[in-house]
Amino acid sequence: MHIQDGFLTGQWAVTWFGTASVFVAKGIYDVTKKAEKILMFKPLLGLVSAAVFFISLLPIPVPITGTSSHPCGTPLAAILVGPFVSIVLSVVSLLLQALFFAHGGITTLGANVMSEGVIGSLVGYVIFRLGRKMGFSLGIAAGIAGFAGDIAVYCTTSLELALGMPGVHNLTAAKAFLAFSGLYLPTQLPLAILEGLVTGAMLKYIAKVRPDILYNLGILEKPEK
Amino acid sequence: MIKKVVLVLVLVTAIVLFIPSAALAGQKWQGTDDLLDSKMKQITGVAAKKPLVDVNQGNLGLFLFAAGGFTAGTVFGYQWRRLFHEKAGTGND
Repeated sequence: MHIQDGFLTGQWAVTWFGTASVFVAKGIYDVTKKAEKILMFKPLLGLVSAAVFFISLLPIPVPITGTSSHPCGTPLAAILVGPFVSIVLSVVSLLLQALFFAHGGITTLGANVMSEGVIGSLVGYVIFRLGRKMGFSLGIAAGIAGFAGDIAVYCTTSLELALGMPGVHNLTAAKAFLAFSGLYLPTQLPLAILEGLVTGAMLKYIAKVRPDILYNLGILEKPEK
Repeated sequence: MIKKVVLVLVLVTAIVLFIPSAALAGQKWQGTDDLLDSKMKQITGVAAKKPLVDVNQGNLGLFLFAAGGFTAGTVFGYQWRRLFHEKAGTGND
């Protein structure tokens, strides 16, 4: 989902920068507030930021299509540290990837933050919360959130490309969206299932080993004594 | 019931991910981002601009990815140990 420099017109690149910056500002505010309130928040932030950076850079081969792609990590991050904090982590990760790893561009950073950071985090978080309200277990709700967040990221990237692609062409935005999502989704579908499984397993592991973390973050309700 | 569904999902994922004989693409293991570059050029005639650091120069890409993976792994492992081993079951921190 890393859109390279040159693939969006200036107007759309600026639009995505502007939109994403609102969410990033809220995220920075949340980081400082949560770090003050919750003692184990900083180590958790370190853990999650390293995970997001690594997961979103890891090209996993998908044998059935013969291609490779990467999961996102932001749905898991959003569930653990909050959706807006997760957006800040995606900015750091995407900036490093654009500067040193030839993954994504600088002018398209806003669009990439919008898809992986904002949409991945918000969809993952909302689906997780809805799943919990509907009575799903922690692992299942997180698993569905991981899957849905991953797919939402790639659909958003396809939309961004369809709306902002440069050059002269005779494709409507709808047709371009179908062309780009048709290119991503066959590879991404198995990886989204994998991301869902990892997200669910991670939440279940933390609930087993350190449930107090989930109580403090408001992910689980503390059982009454 | 839920356990059975999860088990089926795991098996399907494993089959799809780990049986290379099912591979379809002519050029194996090309990244979807690279596929997109080709598609974009085909549709619009516009090629991606060169990245700031060209990771295709010799072993530079290998070095950067190894260094990035090592750094992320070290940070992850250190914080994992702090959170799940040293402080397991000790309350808030």
